[in-house]
Amino acid sequence: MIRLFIFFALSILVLSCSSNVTDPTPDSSKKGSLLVVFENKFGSEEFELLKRFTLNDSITVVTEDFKYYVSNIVLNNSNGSQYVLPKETSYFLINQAQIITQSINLQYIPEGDYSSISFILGIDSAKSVSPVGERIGVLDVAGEAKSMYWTWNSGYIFFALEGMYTTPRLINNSFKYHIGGFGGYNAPNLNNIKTITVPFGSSVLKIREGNKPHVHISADISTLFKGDEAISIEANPTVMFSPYSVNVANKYATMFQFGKIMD
Amino acid sequence: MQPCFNLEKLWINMNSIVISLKKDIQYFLVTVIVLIVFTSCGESNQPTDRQFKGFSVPLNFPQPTYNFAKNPVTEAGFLLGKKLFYDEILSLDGTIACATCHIQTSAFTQHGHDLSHGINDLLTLRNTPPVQNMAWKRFFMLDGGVLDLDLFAINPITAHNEMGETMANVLEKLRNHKDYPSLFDKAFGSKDINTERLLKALSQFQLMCVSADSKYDKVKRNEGASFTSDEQAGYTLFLQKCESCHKEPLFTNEAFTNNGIPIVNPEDKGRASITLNPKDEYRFIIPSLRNVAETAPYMHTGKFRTLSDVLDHYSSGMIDHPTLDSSFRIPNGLGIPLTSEEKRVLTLFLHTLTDQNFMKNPLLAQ
Ligand code: HEC
Ligand code: HEC
Repeated sequence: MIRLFIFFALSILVLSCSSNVTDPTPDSSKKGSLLVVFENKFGSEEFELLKRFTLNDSITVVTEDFKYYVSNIVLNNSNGSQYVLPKETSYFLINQAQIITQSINLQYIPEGDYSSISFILGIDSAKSVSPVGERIGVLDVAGEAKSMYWTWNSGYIFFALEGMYTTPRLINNSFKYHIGGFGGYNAPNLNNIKTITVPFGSSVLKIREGNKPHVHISADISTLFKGDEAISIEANPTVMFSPYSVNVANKYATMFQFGKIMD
Repeated sequence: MQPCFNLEKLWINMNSIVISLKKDIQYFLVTVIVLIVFTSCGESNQPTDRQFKGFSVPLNFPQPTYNFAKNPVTEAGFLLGKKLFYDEILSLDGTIACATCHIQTSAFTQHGHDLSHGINDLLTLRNTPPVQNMAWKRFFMLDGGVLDLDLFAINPITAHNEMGETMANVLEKLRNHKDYPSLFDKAFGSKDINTERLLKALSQFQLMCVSADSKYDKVKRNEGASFTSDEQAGYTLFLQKCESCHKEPLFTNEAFTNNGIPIVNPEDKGRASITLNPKDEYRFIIPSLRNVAETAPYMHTGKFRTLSDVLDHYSSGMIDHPTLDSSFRIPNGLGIPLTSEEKRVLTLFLHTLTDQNFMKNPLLAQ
């Protein structure tokens, strides 16, 4: 047992030493920054609004609006520790119509080698019931949250995808997925908060002072309509605050994939 | 007839006493009586003055649920909120104010309308409830979809059938207005106009809409008023049959209940549209009964025109439904059995919840 332990300890030492040869040892008292780039896709194609994409032999879709919230970002260090971004600086709205929103800037991250990123797709429940004074920036209902908020059921829409779809029988029918639900205020309710972890595979995200790596994460919308438990756009063209929304949320939770890291 | 006769008798009695007194004392007494009559008249007919005295908790009320620490009510904030509440600028075409549907003289409801007309004459989904005692509410909307008064006003402002505006546009109009920037400055310390300030100012006005000065309150607080024997009988009945839901002193326990009224709009599933729980279908929040004599028509559908219609409903009009509150299932039917005499005294009691000082308070008027 002890031998095994020593072996492990040694091998870790050796491994970390070996990486130290090429990179300066991360000094967690120093801070670096990072750009996370969300690349929205439709299958293998780059996603665009108002462009017709083919879903399968019989269905094509044209999207007019695509937005989602990313919040509560956590960077997972390869040494097992985590860096939780300060909550207040950790709310973003990725809006297909505004390219600038698709890259998010994260600052003051302790130096380290990180192996994955986690985030909530949506808004956590504490923020969902926070006082109006704490709903600023992308959470301001008079601003960016304008179309991402249910007034009648006080809560944010986490994920919005809408447009038109065409089948051999029907031309340009509207579809609309407005998914939200933070779990209820004082009684359990619809909870579509999804924590998503995107591992960087064999790549390492090296945060160092003075460097700003880019992490590319792709979000493939077609995932919703494919594979196990696929959403049928014909059978469920409109899904909003309803029990069925859980199915849509389960699907969008799987649409994120690691792309690449550019140092 | 009866009170007139009594008064006459009293006057005769007093006269005989007065005559038996010396002249100077006589003058003195007459002056005192005149003064008493005068001041008490003044008290009962003259609503409270325009002076802002801040928010205070009436003696017979519990502690409020609203978090005042986050939005202390100040005179400037209240006055700004009031101006906003009465201003059509909050609607897209400048025709609808909050006060269009929430009218002070009917306890801030729209008396006489089952549903209200918003912008472009579109109808609201439900009957307009009163805006009163908002500081004690935990749920807003008749299905309880909103949990914070500060977040409520976004609803009417942006609803296509109420004011039809966007929040961003309202803020822009207020920023470009000749008066508002300085009013925001007075209320919040700078001319910035943003979502938080707009909503907090509106809350400040609504928080001050406290109704706690009805005859019922004066009886409860021992302020010299007392129930007539009929009112007292009605009150006793109320405690037995109604108070479990319409709980004193706010006259609601804020539970969501189906009280067996006919379903007018099957699409409006009430509480279930928020909880998505089929057990909550057609359940609506139990409304306060304060000022109920002035807020007809009744229920979220607005289909009950009078209090007598409401009592007839409870005694014999109830419609069965799987979610009907179980307390209404009685051995030989549904509802709350009430004789016509019981209905009469209950109605008299409900009238003691009318608070004219609130509905006529110039401080809350435009
Ligand atoms: C077109 C009519 C109309 C207008 C304009 C309107 N309201 Fe209302 N109000 C209603 C109706 C109807 C309801 C009930 C909503 C529901 O439950 O569906 C309501 C509910 C409310 C409630 C919740 C009361 C409760 O008991 O839950 C508040 C608070 C309120 N309104 C304030 C306002 C404010 C502030 C404004 C202006 C910004 C406003 N209203 C404008 C019709 C209106
Ligand atoms: C089990 C709970 C319950 C009991 C007991 C109950 N009520 Fe109600 N009451 C309600 C609910 C719920 C509503 C609102 C229903 C709606 O809008 O759909 C209501 C509405 C009313 C209204 C209409 C108020 C308005 O502004 O629209 C009046 C008046 C009323 N009740 C009087 C009474 C009286 C009087 C009694 C006793 C005889 C009584 N209630 C007993 C639950 C109850």
